[in-house]
Amino acid sequence: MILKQSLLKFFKTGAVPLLLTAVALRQIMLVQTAGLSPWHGGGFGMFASIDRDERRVVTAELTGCGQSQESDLPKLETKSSESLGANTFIHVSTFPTRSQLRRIGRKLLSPESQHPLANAHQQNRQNGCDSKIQLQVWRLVYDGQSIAYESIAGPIEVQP
Amino acid sequence: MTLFQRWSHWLDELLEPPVYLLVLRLTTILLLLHGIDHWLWTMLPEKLLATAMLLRPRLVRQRWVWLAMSLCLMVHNLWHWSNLVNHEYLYTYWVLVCTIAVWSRTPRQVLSWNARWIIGLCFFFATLWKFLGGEYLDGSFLHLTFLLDHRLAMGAVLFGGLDLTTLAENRQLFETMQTSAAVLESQQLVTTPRMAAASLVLSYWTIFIEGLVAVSFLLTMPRWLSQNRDWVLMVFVITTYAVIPVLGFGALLMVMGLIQTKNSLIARIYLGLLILMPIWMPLPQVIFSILQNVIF
Repeated sequence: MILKQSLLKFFKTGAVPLLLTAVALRQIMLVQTAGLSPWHGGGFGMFASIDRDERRVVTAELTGCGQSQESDLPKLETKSSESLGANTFIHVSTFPTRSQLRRIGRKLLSPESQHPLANAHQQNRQNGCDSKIQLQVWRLVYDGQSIAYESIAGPIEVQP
Repeated sequence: MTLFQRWSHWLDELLEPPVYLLVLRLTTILLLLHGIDHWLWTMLPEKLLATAMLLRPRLVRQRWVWLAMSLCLMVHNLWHWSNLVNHEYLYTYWVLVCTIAVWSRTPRQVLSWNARWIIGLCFFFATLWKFLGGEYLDGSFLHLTFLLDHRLAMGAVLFGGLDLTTLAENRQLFETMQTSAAVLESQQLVTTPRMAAASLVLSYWTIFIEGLVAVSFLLTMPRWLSQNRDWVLMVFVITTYAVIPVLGFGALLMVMGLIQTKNSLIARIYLGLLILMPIWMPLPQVIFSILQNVIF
């Protein structure tokens, strides 16, 4: 009976504030450790940071085989929208974990993506060389006069 | 009877007990309207349910309906957790509170208690983020936002003395930089010392007012601050959302403010601000837009 009353009281007074606090603390941790945009994830970091997902840039570079070919998020989106989808790109730029970037990298290099990087990769393979793709996410910074991009984390290298 | 007297009488009618039912109905309206500008298909069940609740008012009292609404919002929230912004989370928390309230014997107390805590915690974390990011302490966040965000063009012209052509050039510069992914080059934006100073002052004002809302809602001491917490929240809502209109967030804050206050006059002001929100919130922007076309 006491347990039931305590549980009821907890639901009525503490459950939702506790849930809010737990989600917000998790968001702060993910922003600090996994590159989540402060604007998202339920931590109330909106209008607190320049680093919003729409201002981020994801770059992709095909390396190895004595060549280097670059691409960026808008190009990736337009040229691979059929195979990857806009929501995938939004999710990746908002929360660019290593596994997400690897997944994107593998999809980009697959023949189905029909992306110029995939075509170049296929050509390299036919020539007997396995190229790799390097993905990197950048955030906008402002020093009071100039805007620039800084890397959120080091590049992620993906080999299909 | 004057227009003001009619208005006042209408508010009194709306606030007739039980007030918690009014809050549930207002929440239903907000659930139907929020997020329609960035539609996702996972919103469909909650919109259908909210429509049904508005068409059949008896459903607003039904426990299972609120439980279903909670499930809809939780699924939507979990599905898009990394893309959703603050107030979309806040809607989910508030619907959970509404659900617990309709299942309890004391719905008003449940809504009132949780509203106070949710407002307090939301502002606590918002203030905490202003310190964690560091971009508020040197004013750089607001400075850049004034320079790049078209919604703040009014502020950039009025506070910073910038002209609209310069702001458009700044935006163009950033867009070119982003679309070309020129990540290794920096670009200088055009600004004024007045814009930098105004951004710094407004940054500290934001930290002050948000922190004050957090303290006044979470703590009972100092007593004078706790007793005047509603006025602090209203000052925040009016000063912030008149510059950056975020209707969904502002409206939900008014609904939560309304149920947690014990003062009937303040409840009427909350309700009045909520009803008139579609008019007063975009008004400064509309006036600025008209002036912009006439003068510039």
